[in-house]
This record gives sequence, C-alpha cells and structure tokens, in this order.
Amino acid sequence: MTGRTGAGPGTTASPGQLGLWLFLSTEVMMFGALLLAITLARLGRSGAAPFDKGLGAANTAILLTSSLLVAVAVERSGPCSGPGRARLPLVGAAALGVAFLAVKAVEYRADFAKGLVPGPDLFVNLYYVATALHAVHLTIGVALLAGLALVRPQPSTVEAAGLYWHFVDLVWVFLYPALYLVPG
Amino acid sequence: MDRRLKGLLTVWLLLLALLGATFGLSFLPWGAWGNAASLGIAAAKAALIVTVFMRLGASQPLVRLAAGAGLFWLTILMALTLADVLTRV
Amino acid sequence: MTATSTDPGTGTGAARAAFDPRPYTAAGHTLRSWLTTTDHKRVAILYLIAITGFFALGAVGAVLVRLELATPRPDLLSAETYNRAFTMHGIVMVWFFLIPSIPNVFGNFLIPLMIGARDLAFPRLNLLSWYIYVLAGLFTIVTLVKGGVDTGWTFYTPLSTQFANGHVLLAAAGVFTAGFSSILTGLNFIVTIHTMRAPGMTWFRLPIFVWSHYATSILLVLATPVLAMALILIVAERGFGVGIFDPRLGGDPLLFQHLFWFYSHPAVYIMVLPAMGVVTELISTFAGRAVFGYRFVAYASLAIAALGFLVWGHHMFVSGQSMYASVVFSFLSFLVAVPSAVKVYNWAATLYRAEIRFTAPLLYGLSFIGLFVFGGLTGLILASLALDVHAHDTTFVVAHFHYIMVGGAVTAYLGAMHFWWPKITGRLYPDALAKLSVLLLYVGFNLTFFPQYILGWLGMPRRYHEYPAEFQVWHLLSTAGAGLLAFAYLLPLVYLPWSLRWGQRAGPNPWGATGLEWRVPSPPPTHNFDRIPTVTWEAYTPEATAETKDTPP
Ligand SMILES: [Cu+2]
Repeated sequence: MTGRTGAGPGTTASPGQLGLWLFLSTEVMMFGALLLAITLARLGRSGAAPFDKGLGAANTAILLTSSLLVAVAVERSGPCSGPGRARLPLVGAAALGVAFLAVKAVEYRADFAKGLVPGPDLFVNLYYVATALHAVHLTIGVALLAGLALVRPQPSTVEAAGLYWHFVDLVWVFLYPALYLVPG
Repeated sequence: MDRRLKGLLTVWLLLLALLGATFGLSFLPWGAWGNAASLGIAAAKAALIVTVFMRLGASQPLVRLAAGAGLFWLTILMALTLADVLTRV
Repeated sequence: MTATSTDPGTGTGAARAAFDPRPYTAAGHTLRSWLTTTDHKRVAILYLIAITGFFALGAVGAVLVRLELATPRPDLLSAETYNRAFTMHGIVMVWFFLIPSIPNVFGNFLIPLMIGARDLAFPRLNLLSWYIYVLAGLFTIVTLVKGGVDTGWTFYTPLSTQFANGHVLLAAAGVFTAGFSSILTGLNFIVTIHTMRAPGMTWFRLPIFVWSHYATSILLVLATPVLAMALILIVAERGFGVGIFDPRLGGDPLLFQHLFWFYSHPAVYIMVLPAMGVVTELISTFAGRAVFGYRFVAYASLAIAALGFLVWGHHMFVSGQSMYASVVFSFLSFLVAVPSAVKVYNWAATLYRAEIRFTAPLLYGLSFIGLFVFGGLTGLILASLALDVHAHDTTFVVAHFHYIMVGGAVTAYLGAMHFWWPKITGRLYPDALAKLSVLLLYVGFNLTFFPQYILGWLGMPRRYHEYPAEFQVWHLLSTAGAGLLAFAYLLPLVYLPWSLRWGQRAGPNPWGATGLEWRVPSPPPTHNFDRIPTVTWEAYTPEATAETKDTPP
C-alpha cells in the first residue's frame, strides 16, 4: 500500500494504481495513433496482408498465456499467500515473453526471405514500426518480470508490473488483426 | 483463492477460443465484414483482459475513469481524422 | 474525511514527528542538496532556473529574426540561417519554456501548498521529470546551434523527412524525450489533486489555480503521447527510410499534420489554462472578493480542456483537408470561445465595483486579459473557413498566436512571479520598478505584434526573410517594439534577484490573499504544514485569511 491521506472526499484509489492507469492511458494514445496510421494504410491498399498469420496467432496465444501466468502471480503475491509463491508464474511469463521474441525473430527472417523488407511498401513499413515498438515494450516487460522473480517484491509492485504486462498483451491483441488479418 | 484461479483459467480458455475464432474466420471470404468480425473479437478479448486480468471490473470508479480516458480521447482522434480522410474529394 | 491531522500528506510519519520549522531554502545550501532534492518547492526552483535559461536562448532566435526583418533585403542572415533561427526560437520557446513554464514552476511549488499536502504524490518522479527536461533541453539546444534545423517547430512532412537539411532526427529525439517530462508532471498533478487534498478540502473549495492545473494535466497526459508517435514516425521515415507519410508509397502527409495538431492545438491550452488560473487568483486577491461564478470558472477549465481536443483541424483548412471536416473543425473552434469568454466575463464581474488595489501583479493580470482577448478574437478570424484562406501562413497568424502565447501565457507567468515571489523567497521587490516593467511589456508587446497583424493582412508571408520595401515601416515598428519588450523582460531579472538580498522581508501573507499557501511562513518550511489543516471554509472567503492577516503593502 502506498501512503495515502484518504483526505479527498469520495476518493479511495491508491496513488500508485491511479498513476499507473494514467500512464497506461498515455500508452493507449501513443499506440492508438499508430493504429490510426495502420487504418489509413489499410484503406489505401487492396489485397490480403502478406504476413504469416499462423505465426501471428501462435504469438497471440503465447502472450495470452503469459498474461494468465501474470494474473496468477498477482493473485499469489497477495497478503494471504506465502512468500515466493509468485516466483514460478513470473518466471514462466517472462520465458513466454522471450518465446514471443524468438518467434518474432523467425518471422522477420521469413519476411525478409519473401522480400518483405522495410522501405518500398507503406503497409509493410508500418508493420515493422508497430512490431518493433511492441517488441521494445515487451522487452522492458520481460526485464521487469524477471527482476521481480529475483527479489521478494511488494504485492503492489507485482500488481503494477502485471498491469504493464497485460497492457503489452492488449496492444498485441489489436496489432494482430490490424496487421495480419486483412481480407483479400 | 481457488475460485479466483478457476475464473482466471476460464477467461484464458475463452481468450484462446476467441483467438481460434478470429483465426478461423479470417479464411472465410467475408470482405469488409471480416474486418468488423476481427475488430469485434479483438475488442471482446480486450474487455476480458481489462476487466478480469487487470481487475478493472473490481476497481474504484476513479481508476476506471483514468483507464477510460485514453480510450475516449483515442476515439476522438480516430473519428475526426477519419472524418477528414473518408470525405475528401 | 476520516483521516486526521496526524496523518501527514507524504505518508512519512517520521517527518511529522520532528517538524522542522526552518524554511525550505535552509534545508541545504550545497549544489548537491539542490540536485538531489525531492521537495516540490526546491524542484520548482530548479525549474525556474532552467526555464529562465531556455527562455534566454529562445529569445536569441527571436532577436536574430527581428534584426533580419528590419530591412527588406536579406543582409544579416542567409535564408538557411534565418530558417534555423526561427526554428530554434519556436522549438525552444514552445517545448522548453512555454509548456513547462507555469505548471512546472508555480504548479509544482503551489499545488501541494494550496491543497494542504506536504508534497506531490510522487516526489522522486517530480525530480526525474526535471532531469529529463533539462537533459532533453540541453541536447536539443546543442542540436539546434550546431547543425541546426530549418523545418520550423512544426516538422511538417515531407519537408522534414525528405528535403530538410540539418539535424531533424536529433531535434525530434530531443522533443520526444522532453515529452516524458510533460507526461510525468501531468500524471503527478492529477494523482496529487485526487488523493492528497487536506481533510475538508473538497473539489469546490479548491482554488481555481488548482482546477486549471488539473485540466492542464489531462492535456499533458493525453495529448503528448500522440506527438511522441508523430515524432517516432518521422524518425522512422527520415532515419531508416521506412516511408510512412511518403505520398509515393500511398502515405498521407496530412496524417502527420493530424497527429501533430492533435497535440499542438491542446498545447496552446497547456500554456493558457495555467495562465488563466494565475489570473483568477490575481483578480480575486486584488479585488478583495471571491471569484464571481466560481463553479462556472472551474467547469470552464475542464470545458476548455475537453473542447481543445476537438478543434485541431483548423490548422489545416488550406492543406487539402476534406471540406466537410473543415466545416466541423471550424464550428468546434468557435465553440471553444464560449468557456474562454465565461472566464473573461467572470473576471470582469469579480472586478466590477470592487475596491481594486492596482499592484504590479494585478497589472500583469489585467495585461493578460487585454492581450488574450485580442489574440482570441483574431483567432476567430482564423477559425473562419473563408477568412483563413486569406490570412493563412501570413504574419497575421504569427501575431495571433503570439498574443495568446506571449501576451497571454508569458505575461501571466510574470504575473505569477510577482504575486508569489514573496511567498517563494520571503522578500518583497520594488513595486515601482515592477509597475514600470508591466508598462514596458504592454507597450512593447503591442508595438511588436500589432504591426504583424497589419502586415499579414497586407499579404506578408510568415517565415520569409525578405520582403517588398513598402512593408518596411511595419517591420521596423515591430523590431523596435521587440527592443522595448526585451527591456520589459530584463528588468525583473535585475530587481528580483536584487530583492533576494536587499528586498524588504515579507510576512506570510503580504497581499491579504486567501488560499492555504498564505497561511504558512514565507518561505514555507520544508514540510509545508506543521499540522495538516482541516478546511472548513469555502474558497476565496475571508475566513481563509483569518489567522494570517498581514499588512498589505
Ligand atoms: Cu489551434
């Protein structure tokens, strides 16, 4: 629990939680602007998306599962459970994050082999910008989760890192259909 | 505690089912309706993650407001920009 | 409400146990003690120093521009250097002076005091925000001076991505980084105002200054990330050859303008809303009255913030934007005038038949009103679809936004400086000199920018470094005015520091003002309040000053 006066009438949200959700709102605006750019690019092109939607789906499943593990970790870091019980799910989620990045790397290789390189095509360019930016966020998330697995964190810290991780998952939930599932 | 865990697992299974649905539907020749379907499914997935995994369902109204603010203003950005792009002559 | 006065605002029980009555300025005199402070008041001072420095650097760009324009021929600067000079002026003044000016100096210093808290919700984040700001600022300055950028502060594509010479990438990186500072500050303020108010300090007992900073923070938090994405996409296109706005790939240069103005129009309100908050405090204090129509003024802040997000397309009327969208944006732009006018009328009503004390801070406040109203009204001309076609990209636009951002925001910043200086430093400054600088400011400002309205209407394009000889009279007047204005800005830089040593000592409440900040000593102690006050009175009522009546100068 973060220190709080509880002075403001009618407000009982903790400062940390409120601040984190506001931060996530800024992230929504940032990725949202990118989704807008993707939407416009899709309006201006025809034909199905050239990317491997099977690998994209696999990665979605990986992230959804990692989110489950993070939710379990948050559950287990509560006051009524023993110390260290959050460690295993945290490690698992971080490992799934790494797996996501590995799949992404394989996918980039295949894209390059197909000639889908950054530069000549607007939609492909946005694909690279969006997935790279998402990967940066994900990498930060992996570092956070792995770090928490090493120490004995406060429940509120696990919750905060968890919210961030779910958000990274959430971004992918929208990037997947936006980039991969374009009807022909 | 166990009930909570069961709830999380259920949501996870639902999410995977939705993923399967959106993946499967993408093979059907729906045209523009396919876009609507995949966007709708993404929104459903997001709603599950936000309310259950991120516990927004059980949060203070103020926190929900903070979370909704981004979505609200993003809608404005999208709507007014598209109002330009879609009506250019 | 349940919390008692023994529960300290910062949650540090130890601080409460041993309350240190010494002023925050005495908490340490080493450079280290300042650079590692998390006291919101000291961070505010750090901002004050940094912001003053950036203001001076931004002014150098303005001086170069005005000197070049004194003659029709391009004799002082080359076209390239001229472009770099106005770009430097714009980038530095917008992102490193105006945006952080009132919120980060006065908001930082005053919000916790005004709401009855011991600090902001996240004191360390506050210090981090300053470091990000200063490092990003220094980085950007070096970029702009060595190499330079010639795109203007707007970074329009395809100019910025394909044609511009100079360090667009580095400048974009600097502005992008500074955005984090904005976001952290806004987030800190919102959380603080929600969760740290003293017992009894309900929303409708908050000073309007706090309301307007709350509204400003919403803009900081939600608009800045869109600018961040626009800059990322510019960097991708220019730096990595990943075309996003490139028309040859089917990209849309107007998308950049949409993203840019989605931030940059609200950015104007980031500058003006805090200014309005300051002016409301000034008027109420020196009229000796509660703000007329308190709730309307408070809600008007939120309305301006909300409507401010809906009007950005008025910058794009001649860009090829859809006619239908332009109609909508034009209509919405007219709507923003309503809450702004609500504020102006309520200020007028507060002053009406009051026993007004014409102090220097109030004169700054009244100057704000005059210049802001004039800038706002000419804004309506620009928001009109047909008239904008004539005035677009002329110095009429330049004059308009300088009336709002310099005549408005900078004047209010100086008003705040003169009003809270005794609180911040514990010293009074020479009143006559302060009044002289207001006079110089008002005359100098109008002399600088009113001719630019006329020039623009006659067809003088902005961002040109040479012009037909018949325009020279107006340009000369403008340059002369800029000289006067420079004096008006330099004068406080002399007598305010002077007052630190030789100024008369100020009591806790030299103006007889209301507000919790006037109940603590000047300068305030490190932890602000010995006891967290329990508020039982409405904002701006005499009860608020009951205990601290001081002799007004
Ligand atoms: Cu505007």
